[in-house]
Amino acid sequence: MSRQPFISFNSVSKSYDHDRWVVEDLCLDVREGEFLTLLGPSGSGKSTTLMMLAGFEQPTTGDILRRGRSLHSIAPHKRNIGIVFQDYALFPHMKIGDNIGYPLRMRGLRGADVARKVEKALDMVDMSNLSSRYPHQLSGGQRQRVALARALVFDPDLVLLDEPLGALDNQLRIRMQAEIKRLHAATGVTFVAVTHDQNEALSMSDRIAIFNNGRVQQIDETRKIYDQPATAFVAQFIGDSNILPAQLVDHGAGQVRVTVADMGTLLATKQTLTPEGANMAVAIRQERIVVSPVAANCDNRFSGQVSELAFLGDQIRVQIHIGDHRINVRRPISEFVEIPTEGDWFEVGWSPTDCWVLPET
Amino acid sequence: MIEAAAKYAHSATWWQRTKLFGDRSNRAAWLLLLPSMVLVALAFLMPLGGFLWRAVDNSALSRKLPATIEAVQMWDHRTEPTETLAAAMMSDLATQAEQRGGMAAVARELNDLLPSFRNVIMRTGRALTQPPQTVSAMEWLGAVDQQWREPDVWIAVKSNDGYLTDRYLLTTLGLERSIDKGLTRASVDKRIYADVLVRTLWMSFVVTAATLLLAYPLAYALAHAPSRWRGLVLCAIMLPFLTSLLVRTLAWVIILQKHGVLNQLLIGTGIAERPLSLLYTRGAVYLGMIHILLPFMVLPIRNSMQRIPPSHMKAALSLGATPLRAFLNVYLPATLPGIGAGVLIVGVLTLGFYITPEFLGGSKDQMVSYFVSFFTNRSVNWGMASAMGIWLLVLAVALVGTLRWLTQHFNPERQG
Repeated sequence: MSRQPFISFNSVSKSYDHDRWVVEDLCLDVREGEFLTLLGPSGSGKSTTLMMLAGFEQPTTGDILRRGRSLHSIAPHKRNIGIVFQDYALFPHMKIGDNIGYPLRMRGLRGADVARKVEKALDMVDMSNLSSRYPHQLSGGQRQRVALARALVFDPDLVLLDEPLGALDNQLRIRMQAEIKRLHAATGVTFVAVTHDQNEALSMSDRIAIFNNGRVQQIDETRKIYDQPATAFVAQFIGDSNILPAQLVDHGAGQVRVTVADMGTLLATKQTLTPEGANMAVAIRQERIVVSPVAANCDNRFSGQVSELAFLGDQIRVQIHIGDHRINVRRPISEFVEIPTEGDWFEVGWSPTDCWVLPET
Repeated sequence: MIEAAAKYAHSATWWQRTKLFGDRSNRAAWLLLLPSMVLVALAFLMPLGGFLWRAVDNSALSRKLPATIEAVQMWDHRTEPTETLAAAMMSDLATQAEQRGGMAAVARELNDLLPSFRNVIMRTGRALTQPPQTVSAMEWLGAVDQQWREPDVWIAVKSNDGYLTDRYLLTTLGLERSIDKGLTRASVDKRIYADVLVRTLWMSFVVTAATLLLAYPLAYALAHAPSRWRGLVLCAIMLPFLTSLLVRTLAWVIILQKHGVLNQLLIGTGIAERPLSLLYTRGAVYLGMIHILLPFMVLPIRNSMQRIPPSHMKAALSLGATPLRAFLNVYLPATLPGIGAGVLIVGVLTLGFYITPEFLGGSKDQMVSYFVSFFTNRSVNWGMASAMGIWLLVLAVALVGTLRWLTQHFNPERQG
């Protein structure tokens, strides 16, 4: 690809106190028109990254480029970026119509031009009849829609969403995920979202960047993040995985043998690109572990005492003590011939293809 | 649901359903409030009402001079004062002379209508100790003092023959009611009270505006400065609160006086050659009042600033507003409730300021309160004191009303 990336972070680092890096050596490209989510636990640097992109924070070192040109000296109000804040930041003293018209008026539009565009934006989020209300008269979901309309009405180059669904209840959140995805598809504008919720990231994004301790652990298409996590941290953060510290016995790629303290030797899969280092781990997804009697056919099989049992509706999660390790297993109720109780011995197993060798971080 | 509501409706008597005495706990709350309400009524509302009543009260004249008032009502003021008037006056004065302090009271009342009439009354009172024998009442009075023969005093009494009077209120506005011409502008020496009212309004406006302009950036610093600075600034602003108003005012006297700290500094640094007269000027009054009132403006504004989510300014910027426009469109409107509260507190307080202008200002810098105090303590003219007090009250209520109206019209959150 000879084309320049739309947005690119060039080894961007950020520190507030010259002591601890909030964001460290970040290299990240945003493709035009994509929906990229920055996902990570709180304090991982994802929000700071978003604020640097918006221009409210300046990188300590490194540079952010838009189509090859540095954003460094461009003030926030000249960046043409729409932002949806977690608290929506609707101006309480302005009616909904005036809130949405605000960016247009700031761009010198007047009268009928503003009214037409505001109406179109309200239509787009199904809020046409609420133009003359005040923000405090709307529900959370309605405010969210207004915030989206306001961030999109002025044809921004980029829309940033800062924990956009954090303040909504679960059902509304699922509806709004679909709504945001629809808006992204309809407008074709590049979206960059920040969230700590993996479901939100998985359901909306084209690509996900996983942050931890100021560093990007992995940036990949959504499916790939799930199916081929690059590090144990990613495997644990996306999906529910059991992480066991391991040492390589075989080297190379493909099916390898590893030893896990207290458990013995396991057969696992290692990607060609996975580096070999001192701190390795194996990750096994909870839902890929099978239970007795199917477990009897597995290459990796272990028995342990049940220490915890949880019913999750159609599934059961069993926690088993094996050596010093606690292995969590989540399977459909129908697969259990007999539902164990706490203290029972129970056999589980997994295939080498579901057991990945990964660097610990 | 409906069943429960019906049951509730049956079980509650009508007075239980009224909000005021809704249930037992509510009644208990009213009982607890009772002592303080009684206190407010007895110690505040009644004296206040009594004091304000004096602005229009004219019953003293009718009580002291009942016969004269009656006679004056029959008299045509375009004619010469008649013998009937003089006789009535003499009988009234004779009655008063028998009472302790009676003559002094009459003298005070009439002196208020007609300056310099106190001496006439006192002289007449002394003459009454040797009662006249044969001469007519008017000749006798005229012999005691020539002024009794003039129509002025009788006209003055005739124009104030009711139980109520508007003369105090009119005087404070620089107006006079004459028996023929209706309302006219008062003579120059009596117009000073109207000037005082205008001056009070103007000084109050200047102080409130200046305090607002100083307080806004200070409040901003308090709301947004790094936390270690915040405590220091807050301390500097709140510290004066811990000393009394009098002490703070006197501190300014020490700083501003002829050989005070400021003048020594100015001369020492060569900025001024001889001491400047800083004290007893309007500037000194403004300085002292602004200093004393600043915290009352800073704190409510800071409160409203702290309540603005940081995302609101960021949102305005991201939507294309320059920092100045973001401030004007988003930040400033959000601080309006705080500004309103500050202006209200400072405005009402400045209207009633007394100590600071008294100590730091000259005679032309005194405000309404000074004259209220003057009339109550020195000239013992409660009618005038009360009339000035009424305007003070009216101004304060007008300020509160205006601000209430403004906040209700420009604050969408209250409209619901």
